[in-house]
Amino acid sequence: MGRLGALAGLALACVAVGARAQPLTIWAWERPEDLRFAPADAEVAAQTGFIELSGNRLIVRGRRHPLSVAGNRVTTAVVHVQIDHRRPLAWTPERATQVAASVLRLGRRARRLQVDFEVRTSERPVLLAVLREVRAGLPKGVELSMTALASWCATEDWLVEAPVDEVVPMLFRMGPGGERLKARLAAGGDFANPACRTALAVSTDTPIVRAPAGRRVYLFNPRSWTAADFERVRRSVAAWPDG
Amino acid sequence: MAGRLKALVAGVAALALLGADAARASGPGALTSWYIDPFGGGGADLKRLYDGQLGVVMARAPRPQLYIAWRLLHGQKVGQAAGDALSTPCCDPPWRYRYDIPRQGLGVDGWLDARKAVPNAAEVGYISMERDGPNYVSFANCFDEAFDTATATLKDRAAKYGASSAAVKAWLDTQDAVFDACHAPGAVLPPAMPDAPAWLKADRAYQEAAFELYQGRNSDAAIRFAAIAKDKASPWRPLAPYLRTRALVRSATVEKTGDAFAGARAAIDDLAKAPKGTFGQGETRKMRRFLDFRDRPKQLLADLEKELAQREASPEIAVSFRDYASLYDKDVGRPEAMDWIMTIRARPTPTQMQALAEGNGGENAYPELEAKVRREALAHARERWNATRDAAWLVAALANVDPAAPEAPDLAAAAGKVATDSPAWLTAQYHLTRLTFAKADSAATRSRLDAVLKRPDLSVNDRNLFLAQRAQVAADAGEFARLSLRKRLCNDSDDKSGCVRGFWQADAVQPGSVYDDEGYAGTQGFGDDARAVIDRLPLKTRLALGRDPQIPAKLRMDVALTNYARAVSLGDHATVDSLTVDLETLLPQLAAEWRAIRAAPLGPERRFLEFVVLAKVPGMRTDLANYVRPEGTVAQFQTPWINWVLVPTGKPVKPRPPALAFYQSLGVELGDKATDAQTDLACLGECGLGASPLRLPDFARAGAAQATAERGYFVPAQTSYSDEPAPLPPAAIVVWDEMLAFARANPKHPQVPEALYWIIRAGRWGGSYEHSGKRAFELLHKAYPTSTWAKRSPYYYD
Repeated sequence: MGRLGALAGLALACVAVGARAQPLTIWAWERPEDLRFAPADAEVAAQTGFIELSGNRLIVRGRRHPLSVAGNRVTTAVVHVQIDHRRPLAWTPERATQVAASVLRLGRRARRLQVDFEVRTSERPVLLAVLREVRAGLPKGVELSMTALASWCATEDWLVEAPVDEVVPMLFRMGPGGERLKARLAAGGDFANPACRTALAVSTDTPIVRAPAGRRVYLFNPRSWTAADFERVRRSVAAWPDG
Repeated sequence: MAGRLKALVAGVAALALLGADAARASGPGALTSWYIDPFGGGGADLKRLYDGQLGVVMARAPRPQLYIAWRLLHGQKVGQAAGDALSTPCCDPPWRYRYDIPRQGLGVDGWLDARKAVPNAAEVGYISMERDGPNYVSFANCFDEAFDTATATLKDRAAKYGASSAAVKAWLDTQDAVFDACHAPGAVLPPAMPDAPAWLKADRAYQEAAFELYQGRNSDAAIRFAAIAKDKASPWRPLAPYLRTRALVRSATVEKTGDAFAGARAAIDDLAKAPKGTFGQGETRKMRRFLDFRDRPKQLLADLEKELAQREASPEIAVSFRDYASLYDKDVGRPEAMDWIMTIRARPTPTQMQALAEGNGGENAYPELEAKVRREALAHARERWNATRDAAWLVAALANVDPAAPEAPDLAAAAGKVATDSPAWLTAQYHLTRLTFAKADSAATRSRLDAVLKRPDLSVNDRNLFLAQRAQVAADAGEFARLSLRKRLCNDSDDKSGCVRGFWQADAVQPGSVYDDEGYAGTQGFGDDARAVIDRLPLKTRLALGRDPQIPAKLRMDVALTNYARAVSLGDHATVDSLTVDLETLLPQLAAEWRAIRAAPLGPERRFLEFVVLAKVPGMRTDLANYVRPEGTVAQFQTPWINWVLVPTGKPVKPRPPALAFYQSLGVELGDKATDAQTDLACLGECGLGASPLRLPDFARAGAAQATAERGYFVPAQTSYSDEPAPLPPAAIVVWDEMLAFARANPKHPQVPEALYWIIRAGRWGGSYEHSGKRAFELLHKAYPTSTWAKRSPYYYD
């Protein structure tokens, strides 16, 4: 009899959890957003910073567009980091420290700090270095989260080196492999990487029929949110089978 | 005192008007088209544009670039400087986007480096230059030039008085506190050094004034700078009048009283009247505008209209346009150029979006708003065109009309009458074709498009556009082959191209493995319109295309591989045989497999070997739409697999070619409910909201019945553009099942162990059927436990 498959695989076995609501978190990206419609049980992840590594230059700025939201709904501060691929990146330990300090400064207003930093294969050491330095400077009690391409969670294992409390695979704009991954999730499967099983992200314009239950769901909207957009995606998520 | 006294221009730029970075796309990066560029293309094409040669107006261009089109449509000049400025998000320093423009200093980086020269300097690794505002917003409070000035001053003082001196250390401690105030309301200046030398006292006075400014105590700052302006011994005296003025301007924007504005304007007037060459004098116009934006917006809009109506472009055109557009957004007025820009774009305004967010509309509220805006835009553009006969308004109407719309015939007729020397001519020709494709005589359309394509001055983008149209009226397959190729532009890693897309869409990347070379390399490829046509051809025509020498080898391989999948699906072994000959050259990594197929007798073994290739090439598909090119070694071929399902002869499924919206994914995405009639595969939605439904060339139409009949034997990998799994058709043959059956029946066949390995891999990465990977695993380890393939498969995954 052959050996059983390891945990590192796309298991078809359903996630055995009881029915419970998925905590919904609305992403408020860098554009005017009015999220005062958000119900009390929905959280907000607000982009509060932008960092670009452009050759030997570092561009850092905070949010420029207002976010209207009620109460203490912003539980996650999102800092978007990107590399300008028109220039060879000048990456040094000092730069890593500066980037991390910028991330910590820009993301200081919430109990969860999320780094949104999409990197190419050759740039993974940059992402990991930033995450390590951010982790080292994170105030006590603040969680560290990161967004991830779905492919990182499905077919790659380098994410184990990321010192984060939460990985958020994004189930949209996934390219050629995305349709199969979504179909696999629709059949009750899960991500190969266990680190990617506490949260996920969906988009309002490309809904999915099912995703594993019981994890934080981040909601992406390619345009500014309306109450109707939220209600539609909330219904879509609520329709996911449990377990 | 010697040393550089830098103009604090960045401060003025920020003071001036909306000096923030352009809002960037946030969230995950997006794939973008490699042959259509709404941002004007490469440097040479942009230069031609700025010199007056308007190509096809792209409605999805950024507003400042649409303004370039407006100017050219009205005989106004642009030129390189204005063109560059308008093609760059306003209003950061130029070096922010263009590396060919040297940055004058190193900003914070330079400062952090310089201060290390002072022994026992406090450890500072990072300085934030922004303050928190309301609603989670941050605003820039300090600017690079302040750090450049401080760097120069520190170096000067250290050189003169010694980096280790107590006075220089005191200077540095004070300056550190000044920069703390950039972000920290609670920043505090250290006490002044007792018995400080005169130079330090003068510097301290300046630092205290700057500190007040950064703390937002603008009136206090103004008073302090005024005192410095009177101090003949202070090295900061020349800067002081300007800085006093700047503080008063800031004060006016905070206090928002008539007196505050009057005080600021008086200071600006004083600065303007000061002796020529007074520091900061050149910024007075900007500072006046800055105030006008806030307390005299209508007057400012009128001034800007006058300025922007001049034939020559002003040096400040980008900033002026930015203010002009912002005032429009604030509903201060409806100037014609902005009216035109918003009409051609036909997108909801910020005010409309805000109302939508605040309203209680249902889930169709946004699509309904979009449709309403578009209807109104078309009606408005037509009304303006009829009233003025201004070609710009015809262009706006054309961009928004669908070919089937009742307005289309009249607009097409008008487009046909646009003079060849009109700047609107190319745009008119493009839309004329788009609107008349379905009904116009093919030969006449060919002739007209050939005349356009003969022009030597077409931009790369425009040539690609017209090639896409011309390909759809190709006379035969050979001509289509030639016309199916598009030239690549704005390679995202080539900053020598002069493209500006990266300024506006920093996170957009071009796809890989679709060109005439490996991976991201290559200079041409099939247009998405061409791929859609090729996917709708019968196999016989596709075979010829896959052998056409006009098509580069890599692209012929793509066609050949999808032909192979079709031939296998059809059970057309003769065609499979002939394709294996082509593929021995085109995909030599599988040369042994191609030869083995040819050598095998017809029957189960032959099918097995044909299926082995399906297992080894995960990206193999029957259509280019969802095919992924195999590159590198077999082990490097891209995932994922599909679950291959065939149907027996006589039991076809309902033919379902890939939706045309699927081919438009690199342009304006249409969503999974979009019909074929709503697509635009020529311009990918970038030319306007008017659709351009695909017109199959006549030779393709002739083969449509055959193509449809064949498609009955291609079981789609996904039944719809949404994500619902496809149910198996009746009598379906699951390829992995048949391979497993052959493996059990032919345990000694040399290909079986490897085939089982590949079924396990397919099961892991997307191609499992009923635990086919597990079944293959069990058979492999039971029957071939010591084989290389068993050793390479320690686990199954489904």
